[in-house]
Amino acid sequence: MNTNTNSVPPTSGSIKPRLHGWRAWLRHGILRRITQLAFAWYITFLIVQHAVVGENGATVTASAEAFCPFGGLETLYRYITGDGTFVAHTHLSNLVLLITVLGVALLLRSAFCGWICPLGFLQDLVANLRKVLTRRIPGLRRGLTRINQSGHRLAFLDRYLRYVKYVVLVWAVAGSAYYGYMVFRDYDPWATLLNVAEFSFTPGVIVLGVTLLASFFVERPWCRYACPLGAVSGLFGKLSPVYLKREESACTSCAICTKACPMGLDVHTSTTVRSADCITCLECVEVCPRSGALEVKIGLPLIGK
Amino acid sequence: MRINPIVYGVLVLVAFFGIILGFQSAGIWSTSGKVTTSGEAVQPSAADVNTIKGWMTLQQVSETFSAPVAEILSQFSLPADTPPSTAIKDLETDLFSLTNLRIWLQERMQATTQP
Repeated sequence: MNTNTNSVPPTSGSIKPRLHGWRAWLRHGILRRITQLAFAWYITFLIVQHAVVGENGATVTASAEAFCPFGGLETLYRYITGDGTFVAHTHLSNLVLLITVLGVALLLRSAFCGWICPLGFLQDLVANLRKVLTRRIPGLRRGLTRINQSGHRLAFLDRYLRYVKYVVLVWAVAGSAYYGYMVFRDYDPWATLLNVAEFSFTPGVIVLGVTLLASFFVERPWCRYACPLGAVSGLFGKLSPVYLKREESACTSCAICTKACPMGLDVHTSTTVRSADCITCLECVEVCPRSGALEVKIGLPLIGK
Repeated sequence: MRINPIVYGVLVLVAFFGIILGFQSAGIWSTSGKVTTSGEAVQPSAADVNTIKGWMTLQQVSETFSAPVAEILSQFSLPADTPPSTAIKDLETDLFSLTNLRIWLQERMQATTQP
C-alpha cells in the first residue's frame, strides 16, 4: 500500500493530505504568528528602551508612538497645510508607515491587520487563551456556550456595530485637523499600551480593558467594531487585486472556514471574499479540509476575475 | 491566478519593508522631533518662537532668545532654584505652558525691537 501522500498531487475537492515532519511546520499560519510575534517584540523593545533611557539620554531614543501608522493619518492635514509640521507625538516616520500600510492594502488587502498589527496579535492571544482554557476546563466551555446562546439575540447588532469604526475614523482625523492635536489619543488602547510606563489613567485604559475582556468572548472586537486604521486599510484593500475565492465544486459547505474566521465573516456562503473587514489572515484557507476549495487569487480589482 | 499562502505572507513582508526602506533611502524618515532627517539636533530659532518645543530646556530657550533664566522663572512664578537643564514640558503649571512662554517671548522681542 502506498503511504506516501506527498507524491500524488491532490485533485480539486479531495481531502488535503496530512503533512508530516518538517512539512507540517511549513504552513503560512506559522509564518504569520512568527511575524506577529517579531513585531510585538520590537514594539515592546521600543517601549522599554524609551522608558529606561528616557528623553534626555546621550542617544535620542524613539518613542514607540513614532511607529504608529494611524498617527500618520492624524497628522496628515497638519503636515500638508502647516509647512511640514506635525501634531504632537507624531513624526515623519508616522507618515511613512501610513503610506506603507495603505500601500500594502492596495497591493495585498489589509495584510497589516492580519500579519503585523501588535494590538490584533494581542487580541488573538486572548482568543487563543480562551480556546486552550475551554478545552481543559469543561465547566468554562459550558458557561461560554450558554453565554453565546443567550447572546444570539444580539447577533444582529454585529452588522451595525461594524460601521462604528468609520465614525471613529472620521472623528479622529477630523478632530486632529480641526483642533491641532490628536483627539483620539486619550481613548486609543494602542497609545495606552505604548505609554504604559507613564502610569497615567486615561479613558484609553478602560477601552483597552474592555477590548481585552471582550476578546475572550468575541475574536478581534477592536478590529471588528472600532479600529480606525483597520477601517481605512479595509477601504483601500477593496481596490486590491488580491481576493479569496471559494470554488463551489470543491467546497462541501462544512463551514469550518467561517468558524475559523476571526472577523466573523461568512466565508462558506461567499463565492469570493472581498469584504473590507477581511484581514487576509488566511486562517480559513489553512483550516479548509478540501484541496482547491478556498484559495488566494489575483484578479482585477473590485471585479475579482 | 492562484497565490500560495506562504508566498502571500512573504510578499506582505517584502512590500512592507520595501516601502519603508525606499523612503529611508530617500532620506524621508525621522522618529524624533529632536533630530532632523539628516541626524542634526533640532535647535530653536531666534526668529520664530514657534520653533520652541516642549522637550527643549530653559537653558536652550534662554540662550536663543537672550532671556535670562531668572527672568523666565520670575515671570511665570516658577521656583527660583529650578535647574536651567529642566525641560519646558516638565514645568507646566496653571500659569506656565509652552504656549504662554511663546506668547511672552514674542511680546518681549517686539518690545525690545521697538524704538
